[in-house]
Amino acid sequence: MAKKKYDYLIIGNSAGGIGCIEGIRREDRKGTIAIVSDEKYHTYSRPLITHLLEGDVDRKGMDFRPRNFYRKHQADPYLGFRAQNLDVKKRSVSLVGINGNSGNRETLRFDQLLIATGGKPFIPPMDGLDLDGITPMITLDQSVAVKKRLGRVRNALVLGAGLIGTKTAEALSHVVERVTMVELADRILSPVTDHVSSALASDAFRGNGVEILLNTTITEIRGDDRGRVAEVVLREGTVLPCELLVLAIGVRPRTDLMEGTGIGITSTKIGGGVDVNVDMETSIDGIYACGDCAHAHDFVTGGMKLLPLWPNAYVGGRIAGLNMAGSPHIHKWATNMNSVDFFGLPMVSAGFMLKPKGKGFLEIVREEKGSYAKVILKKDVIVGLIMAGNVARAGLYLGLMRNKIKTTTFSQHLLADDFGAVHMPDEVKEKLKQPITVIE
Amino acid sequence: MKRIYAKEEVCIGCRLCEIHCKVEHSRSKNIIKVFKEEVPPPSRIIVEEVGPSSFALQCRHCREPYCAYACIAGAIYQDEATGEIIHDPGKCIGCWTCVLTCTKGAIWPDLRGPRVAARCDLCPERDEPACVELCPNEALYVVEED
Repeated sequence: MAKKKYDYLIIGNSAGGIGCIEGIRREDRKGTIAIVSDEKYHTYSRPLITHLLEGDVDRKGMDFRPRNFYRKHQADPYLGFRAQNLDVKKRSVSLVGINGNSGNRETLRFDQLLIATGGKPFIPPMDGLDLDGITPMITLDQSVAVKKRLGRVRNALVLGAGLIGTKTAEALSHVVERVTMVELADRILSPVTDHVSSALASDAFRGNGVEILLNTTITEIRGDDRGRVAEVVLREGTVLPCELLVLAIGVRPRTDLMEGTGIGITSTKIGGGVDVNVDMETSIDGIYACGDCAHAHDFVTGGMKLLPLWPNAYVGGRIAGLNMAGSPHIHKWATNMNSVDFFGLPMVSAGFMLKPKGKGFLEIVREEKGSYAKVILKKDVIVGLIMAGNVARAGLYLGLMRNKIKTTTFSQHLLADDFGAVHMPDEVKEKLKQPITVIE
Repeated sequence: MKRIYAKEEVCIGCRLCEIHCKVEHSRSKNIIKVFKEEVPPPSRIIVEEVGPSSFALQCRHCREPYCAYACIAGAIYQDEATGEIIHDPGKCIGCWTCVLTCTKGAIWPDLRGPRVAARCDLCPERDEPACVELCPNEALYVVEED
């Protein structure tokens, strides 16, 4: 059995892994790099799998980086290999070939390691889950598999109306006759909206023929005599026909590889994430983690938490890579921040969605037909942002949030059409003119 | 690399730079047609004004480009040779993550369809960016810097 050794080993070929390669190569042109994924594909843009399903992005459009990326960055790709038996003392991991690589085995040793294993779908136990036509929607293979069976789908049902569920329902609405979203909460997109922006999104879905059922869930799944999903029963007894059931309840950190290795993992109510410092290093020297499998600093709350967002994964990976290659950086760039477009309705949000209880919080709201904007302030510093319908210059607010700029002298202009640098204090304005040279 | 700066003391807030930016990035590049017959694209430069003070800004081509780091489609990247930030509209899906993460507020939704992000590209087809060349007060100028 071959035992290769790499200066840098990366497990995960998505945003975090690619960010890590780019971070390392900014500092170190020579060190050897290997990148491992159980998926057999060239790095692809995971959030675009619903666009692939819908057909407005083709397979080539899924490439997250050009096809010469690994060669150009001198990184050895091990694609279609599952990593297991991570040994943090021997600093080695074994790879088992899957997805057409069956039978291939390797053991790789490493000096430094990035764990960017991402998330896995959370699927509650239910009868009937083994029926044909039931799937999560987090991989390219799942998107392609759904696309293949669309011919026999008249009714599609999406369980869960978070970001994955809503983007899936939007895509399906273009290719399936009837689409229904079922959501346990009292509104769709609850982690990234308040009630007003959620209602705007709901209007967009309903206006495009997607049915939304709130405050309910599926209690039973029934199949036909050929073992295919045929209908579901909701909590209150309603029976809905469906030939496709997409499970999009949530994603949990994928930490199987780390369990029992000594790498610190903190359990939370939505699953355990790998503990890291703000430099992205885990409890073991030279072993880093980022993205959906790990915690990250939230610049609004100041704590470490799961922030399973593509930009957070990329920047976390990039900063891990810079640190691994000897250039000290910290990652305090992220918060709960999202941007999305449904049927032509743009929506962005960051930080708190609802005004927290407690003293010192203030909400400023601007509501017009088809558009909505809100900022939440704490002692004049922006800690929450929602914009829907018109998202122009949203980044100005995010910058003020991240840099904790007091808006005391200009808060009356905050949501005006002409709000901009000209209203801000001179030192903030001067900084806006200069290119960003440090990730902060 | 090239970066455009503004002389605030001579900018009178006439916003002609915005007009010329729209024309340069329009389908016809004909100023009458753009505003009479077409849907004009968003201007990549913005002029803000309060009383006598004005402020003009477009993409800073940041050395640490948050927009590129945040792009979920791999549509924004830094040119290794020039340091310029390049946006590939063919790969852009109009998710507006760059609009949210550009803390300069210098990326704009282009809603003409296909819906994509729009930002200063330094007018690759011209010797000098349109806003710089056509500003009547020479309030915009190009600097070659790192």
